[in-house]
Formats: sequence, structure tokens, C-alpha cells
Amino acid sequence: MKNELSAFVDGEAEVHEIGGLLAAMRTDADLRQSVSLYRLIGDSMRNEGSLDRDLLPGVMQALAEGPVVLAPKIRQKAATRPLLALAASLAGVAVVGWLAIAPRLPEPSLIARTESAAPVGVEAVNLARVRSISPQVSGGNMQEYLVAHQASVSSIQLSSAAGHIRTVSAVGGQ
Amino acid sequence: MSRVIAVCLAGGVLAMPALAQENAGAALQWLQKISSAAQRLTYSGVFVYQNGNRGETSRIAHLVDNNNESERLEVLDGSPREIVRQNDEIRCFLPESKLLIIAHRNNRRSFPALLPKSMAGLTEFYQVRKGPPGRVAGIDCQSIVIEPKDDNRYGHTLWFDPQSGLLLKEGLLNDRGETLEMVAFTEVRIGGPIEQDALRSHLESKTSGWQVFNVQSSDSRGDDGQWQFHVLPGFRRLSWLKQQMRPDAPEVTQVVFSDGLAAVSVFIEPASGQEKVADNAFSMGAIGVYKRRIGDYQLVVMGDVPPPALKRFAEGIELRKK
Repeated sequence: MKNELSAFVDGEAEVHEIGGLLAAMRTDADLRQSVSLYRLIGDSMRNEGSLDRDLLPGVMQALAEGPVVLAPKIRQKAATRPLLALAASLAGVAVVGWLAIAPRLPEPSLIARTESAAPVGVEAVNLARVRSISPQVSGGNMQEYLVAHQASVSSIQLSSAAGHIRTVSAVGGQ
Repeated sequence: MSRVIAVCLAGGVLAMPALAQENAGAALQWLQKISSAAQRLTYSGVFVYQNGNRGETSRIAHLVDNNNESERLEVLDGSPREIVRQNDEIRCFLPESKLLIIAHRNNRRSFPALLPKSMAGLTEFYQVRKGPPGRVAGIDCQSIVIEPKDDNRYGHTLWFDPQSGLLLKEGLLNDRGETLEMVAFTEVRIGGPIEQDALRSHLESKTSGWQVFNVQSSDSRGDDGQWQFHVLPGFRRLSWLKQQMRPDAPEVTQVVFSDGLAAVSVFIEPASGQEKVADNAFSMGAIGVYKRRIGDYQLVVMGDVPPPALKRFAEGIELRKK
């Protein structure tokens, strides 16, 4: 049954097998669950969709219960297929593993935010009045607040350059 | 054969969390190294600060000598603003406004104790991992990527010198991965000697006629229960201070919160004037400001968190009825 199921998930089952499987799935919850699990495995190997954290217990259980055929054509087709399937599987594992550890660091682009552009996320909460401003024109004495703020949070700053420059860049300059 | 394939797959799945954990652990250790390097290293150099469409070049010199810290930062473009620090005293010279602001760092003594705790707590609200190696100011460096797990904080990318731990480049990223703010050395020299002239104020002799605001701050034990703060997840209170911003102004209460990386200050003072002023939000670079009036008090909420989060922070403050 597992071989048939695996072939079904991969779209490689024979017509006469599909009818029987669909009929069985209507009544068999375990079978439906197995189909979901096999689809998840297939997706992860092909790097489609996200790898569900709950997948692991299912995989381990399936392993404990018996062989899981991930490359259904192995059973009857040409002798080269198992090797290809193994290569694909290993590549799949490699991709999944790589995704987990790969840095997704974008090359930093110094994207200009113009005065007219709304700051981040402003639209989402309708903060229409948020604007970039110099403290001198804020109608208040923001300089001291900013200096006091930066002085108070210096203990968590990783670089004094970043903390200081915020103070003098925001309160003075061109 | 099929079992081999399945085992390979399962092995890969099993290896993922372990690798990710190891990666995060190494990144956290580096983060700790960066933090301590900022305090103990002598260095000098030139760095660029980019904020939105604005960029400025500055020179910095930082000397640690017998546990004494001296530092001077001078902006090289536009108005020659300058910050000079001797241990906890910060003097901020703003020639365009003819203003000298003197302030004092407050949390320095709690720094060593604070740090490891915040580092461990970081992973609850940020994903911290190693990034790719890079090169900044002629130095081969390593990067760390810090991504927020919710929309209450910004992301960071840090590039540092693995030998010394000195932070060479820092980027602040919004939820779309766009760089809001960037500080990057273009040249740096790690270690001394540093000439005394590089550390003394060049503007001090020119401050005749300037306004001087000496911000006097004192620790306040005083949570008198009057205010209730429903802070954003992960933020905890760092300090509760009384600030005398100007001699003629009323005392201001400043309550500082942090999640270990981002920080929000809440300034509370008696409201001047009777008129009801609408809540008001604006930003000064990456620092957002949200002004709010509650009862007879004016609140200024300020910090490096996204504007919607800052608004939520401000709206989570309540004046308890006496």
C-alpha cells in the first residue's frame, strides 16, 4: 500500500490503482494522514513550501513503521532510477539543510527615504502625521530629550559611534 | 535503498535545529565580544552615517587608559558638530544652534551585569545568526544578522573584526529588509597611540554666548504607582530617572525600557498650557517620537522602534486614578 501511496502522491500511480486508493482514503483517516505526510516530504525535497516543524515526528514514526518509498518508480523501472532518486533525495536534504543555516543577508542598499515618503509601516496604522523632522522645528526642545535618551541607553549600545552620531546628526547639520 | 533515502532525509531534518542552534550560539558569543570590545578598545577612524537620503562623514577617536574612557566625535560635513566624552560625562556641541548640552550616562555601572542577561533574552524576540564574511574599511570581517520575530522592533546587520571584536559597520533594517540607517567605518585604526588633540574639544574655546543646558539626572527609586506601563513584549525597565533639562523648566521623569537592542524612553512632565494638543508623531532619523497628553501631563515617548510599535507603546501608558 505504501508503494502505491507514494506513486499516487508523485502522480505516477496507474489508473487502476488511483481508483482503489481514493476509495480507501474516503474511509481511512490514517491513509489521508499518510498522504499529507508524503506530500510534505515531497515538497521539502523539491524545496516547495515551508518545512513544517511538526513534520519530524511524522517522519520518524513512518520510519519506525516501515520503508517509506520516496521514489516510487524504483520498484519496476530502469535500473538507473534508484541512483537518480538517491541523488535527488540527497540534493533535497542538502537544500533543506542549507535553508536552515544559510544566511539570507541582503547586500545592504542605502535606500533613500525622502522627506515626502512615509516612514516604515506608517500606512498600516494610519500614522499619517508621522514625518521626519528636525527637533528645532518640532515646536519643542527635542535636543535635550534626544541627548538624555542616548545617554541613558548607552549601556546597551554596541557602538558609541552609532549612538553619538544619532544625537548630533538629528539635532544639527545642513 | 528507499530506507537509505528516508534516513538521509530524516538525518537532514534532525540536523537542522542543531545547526541553527549552534549558529545562533556562535552569533550570540560574537555579539558579546562586540559589546565588550566597544568598551575596552582604543581605536580611531572615519565613518559614514547614512540615514534615509542623508549621509555624513565623521571622525571618531576612542581611548581607554587605566579604565578611563575618553572619546571625541566630530562631524566632518556641514556644521562641525562635536561630542566629547570623558567617562560618563557627555558634552554635545551644536554650533549652528549655539548650544552646548551636557549630559551624563546613567547605566554604566550596571553594564557588565546587564549584558549577559540581555544577550540570552535576545533570542526570544530576535533570530540571531551568523551572516556571510565581508570586508569593511580594508578589514576582513564577519557579519551577524539579527531579525525581529515580531513587528515591534527593527532588524540589524552587524559587521565586525573577528580579531578585536570592534564593530565596523551596522545597519538598521525595516520589516521589508530595507536599510533605514547605516554606520560604517571607511578607515579605522585599532589600538593607540592617540594624540591628546584628537580627544579634546575643538569648539570649547568658541562657546562664548552659547546657551548651556546641563541635564542633571538622578536615579529615582520612585515608581510611585502613579503610572502603569503596558510595555511591548520583551521590553523591560532599565531605569527610572529624574531629569532637570533646563534650569527654568520643571523636573522631568524619564523611564527607560529596552529589549536588549532597542530602547524606548518615556519622558513625563507637567503639561504647559491648558489647551488640549492632539497626539503627535514624528521621527528624527531612526528615532521615532510620539507625544501624548494624559491628564495634566505631557508624555514624550522616544525610541528606535517602528512608528506603529512606538504608538502602541505610548498608548499602553496609563495614569492611575488616585
